[in-house]
Amino acid sequence: MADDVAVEETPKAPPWKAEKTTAQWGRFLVFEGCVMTRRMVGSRYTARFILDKYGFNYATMDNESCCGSPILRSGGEELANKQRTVNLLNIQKLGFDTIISACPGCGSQLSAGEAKRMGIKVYHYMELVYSLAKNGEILHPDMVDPLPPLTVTAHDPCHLDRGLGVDCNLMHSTIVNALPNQTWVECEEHDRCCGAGGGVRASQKDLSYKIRERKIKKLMRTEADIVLAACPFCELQIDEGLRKTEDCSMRSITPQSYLAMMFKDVDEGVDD
Amino acid sequence: MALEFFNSINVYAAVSFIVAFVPIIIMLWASKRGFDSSILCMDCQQCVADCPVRSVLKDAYMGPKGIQVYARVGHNEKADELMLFSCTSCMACVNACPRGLNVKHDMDHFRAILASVNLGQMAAHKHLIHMVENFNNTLDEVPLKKPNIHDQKKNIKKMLDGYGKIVGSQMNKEGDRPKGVA
Repeated sequence: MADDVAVEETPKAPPWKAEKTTAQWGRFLVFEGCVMTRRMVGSRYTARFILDKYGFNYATMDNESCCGSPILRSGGEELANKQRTVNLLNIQKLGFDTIISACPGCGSQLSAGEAKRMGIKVYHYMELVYSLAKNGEILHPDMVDPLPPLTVTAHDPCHLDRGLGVDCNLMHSTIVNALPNQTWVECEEHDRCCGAGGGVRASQKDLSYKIRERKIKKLMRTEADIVLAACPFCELQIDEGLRKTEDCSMRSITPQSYLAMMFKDVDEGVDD
Repeated sequence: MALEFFNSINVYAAVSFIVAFVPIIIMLWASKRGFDSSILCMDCQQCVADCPVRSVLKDAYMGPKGIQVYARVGHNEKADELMLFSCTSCMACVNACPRGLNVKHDMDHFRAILASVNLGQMAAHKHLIHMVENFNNTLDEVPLKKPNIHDQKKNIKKMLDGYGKIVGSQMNKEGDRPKGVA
């Protein structure tokens, strides 16, 4: 386990809303997690893009360890607890008491156990955006005008809804309704599991797909254009299910990518 | 003589003792094994009604109630047979429990007990543990260091183009736009 944890400094925050967001959230550490940093790099980028755009004051950890969540579901309770403790101690050593997690699984794992005793609070990315939407500050001057008209629904990731205790349905609807030209439509059983978690997608694909079938049916009934899924596993699982469904133009996307795509300059700096 | 013995106060006392203390002994044993919450389960089956895995596998899967029962009595083989490792850890059972018992903790703990006696774990679970033990992440066989975002520009661009097509944003100059997007 690495002791030499370094902080990867982030670019200077733009002035837009920076004072307000820093006053509300302070300086925090973003825990990105394995999937986001190694597979879903687009969502990793858009999450950072959103944080930069709204002037959040954050840092990321250079030497991040696995949070232990997948290990806990695989029968490695002791190793999982050790991973969590090491991460929390490293974060405390860096002087942070607020963690913003990119993945609800990581957030749920890090917030369990000793985090409370150590005085460390764990939130998800979208809780920051939710706070902006609640305060009526989500509309940014760099957004496209007019925004593309979309009908949006959402899936509530289990570890965000029940693990971190966020009212996902209210959060998603508040964010979507705060944006012009967007139509929010609530999905039936929005908090039902998509079947990807607990190592089931990795170990028992058939079972995982059978659990997903019901989710896809409910999502199809909404006739929405896109589904927001704030968890990388859920996004993968649902998007794959939608793509396999005949005559289905609906696609799944993480909320941070959905929001980032509303900005004119989202791809600046990533052109080859 | 025998009748007299069975009618004696000592027998009633002994039976009362067993009836009162056997459940307590089971509870203490369950608690010692790390299943503190399972001893408070009142068998209402709310967790079973809400379990998404149970709704697919029916009786082939023990469900959250089964986790409580088999964890309490330490029946590892039965837990393996009834697919303990099929739980998606969605916590619908935790949400449904009127007593607020942490069924998820019991499930994780029971999985660890099964794994320690070589039961239940599948190749994918063993692989995940191997990855974290050796490479400190679950996906790449590269130890410790997290990939730098500045080295991922090409992949980010590709994904952003994909998102543009999904959202129908300004990036979607061409390609399949979602329904309702002009």
